[in-house]
Amino acid sequence: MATTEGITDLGEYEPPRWLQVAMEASHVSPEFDARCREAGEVALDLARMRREKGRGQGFVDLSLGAYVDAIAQLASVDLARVLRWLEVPGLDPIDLTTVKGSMRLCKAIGLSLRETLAHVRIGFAGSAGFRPFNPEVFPRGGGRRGLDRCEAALAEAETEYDLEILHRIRQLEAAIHSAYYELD
Amino acid sequence: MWWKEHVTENGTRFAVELFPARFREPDPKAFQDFAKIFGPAFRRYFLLRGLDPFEAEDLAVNLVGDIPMRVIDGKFETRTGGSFRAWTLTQMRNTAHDWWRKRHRSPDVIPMREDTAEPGTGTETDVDTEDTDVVVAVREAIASLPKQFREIVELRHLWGEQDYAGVAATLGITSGAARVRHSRAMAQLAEALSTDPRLKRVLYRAQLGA
Repeated sequence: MATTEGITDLGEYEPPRWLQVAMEASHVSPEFDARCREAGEVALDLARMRREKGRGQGFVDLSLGAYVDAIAQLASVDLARVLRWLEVPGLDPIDLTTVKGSMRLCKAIGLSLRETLAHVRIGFAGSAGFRPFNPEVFPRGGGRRGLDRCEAALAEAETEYDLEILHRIRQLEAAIHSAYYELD
Repeated sequence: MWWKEHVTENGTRFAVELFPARFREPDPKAFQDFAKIFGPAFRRYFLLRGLDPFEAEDLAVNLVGDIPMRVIDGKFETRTGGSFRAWTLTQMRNTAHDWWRKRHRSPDVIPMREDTAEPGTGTETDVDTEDTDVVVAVREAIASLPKQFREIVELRHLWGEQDYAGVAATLGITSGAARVRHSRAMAQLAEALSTDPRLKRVLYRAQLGA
């Protein structure tokens, strides 16, 4: 079919062999292409959430799930899609088997390990029926020393927890530490 | 367009070097472009290192999501301060290395290809990533085509070999128009890639074979 200088006898351009070889190396299935696109979209969602988180001042005394949900809403991000992509069923409480995905999320949106642990402990406090935060002592938003005050309030509340709950908290904390640093 | 403004001042700086700044904005298109350009390149590399297609695709997809976040997390600047391409390829090699180490410990060892160095040892050569660079160059060139040309190249070549009738039906044009558009798109692509140093070896081999 090809005649001279890459033009076929139908007047079409015939791609040179080297281009065909290079193109073949780039072949992917539509399914793979869609997965890559979704991964890119989720990365963008996380970047938006991180920017939104960075706009906040101080620590907010919410459970991890409630806090992340709030950030997602402010950033106009579909959190369900992000969690699905990370294979995280939920954040309140974090499941030991999916702690790595949860930490990927926390790190990606800019939560420090200390903040993450405090949010997780707040979740336990809430589910155990404790309300450790006196609004007069701990105004919403927490201010500059909010995290310090929150940790102090949690430590006080946790003296009244059942040993079983405390054990679960410590177990989860260890898993969170490990997963968080593994991501570095 | 960003890629036109920044391609090769001295033959070494490519449009991909702009990704870090674009991720930090964050520019939504940067995430799409990165996925389109590097996803297939990562997959190609992992396949050539001996991973099965499912694992190669899983690792590639994870990297497509992780690398922009690592950049935003400040890992790119602090660790290299240099080429984003080189840093990205190092992340890719390290991922292959981690995969290999995990498998190596298990009883069902799947050996890496023996004709290449163990990834992550620092003994790799450019040959290790030559194919990856080719894919990146091709994908980057396709991304820089006008939309109507880009669409037809993607449909006809990148997602399986669709015939002109299928392409025409997808785009809502006649088969003849699809042929003409494809022909022009390929000519433009060949022109863009023929001077790209990343395709030097491919061009050289083609010359030898001719």
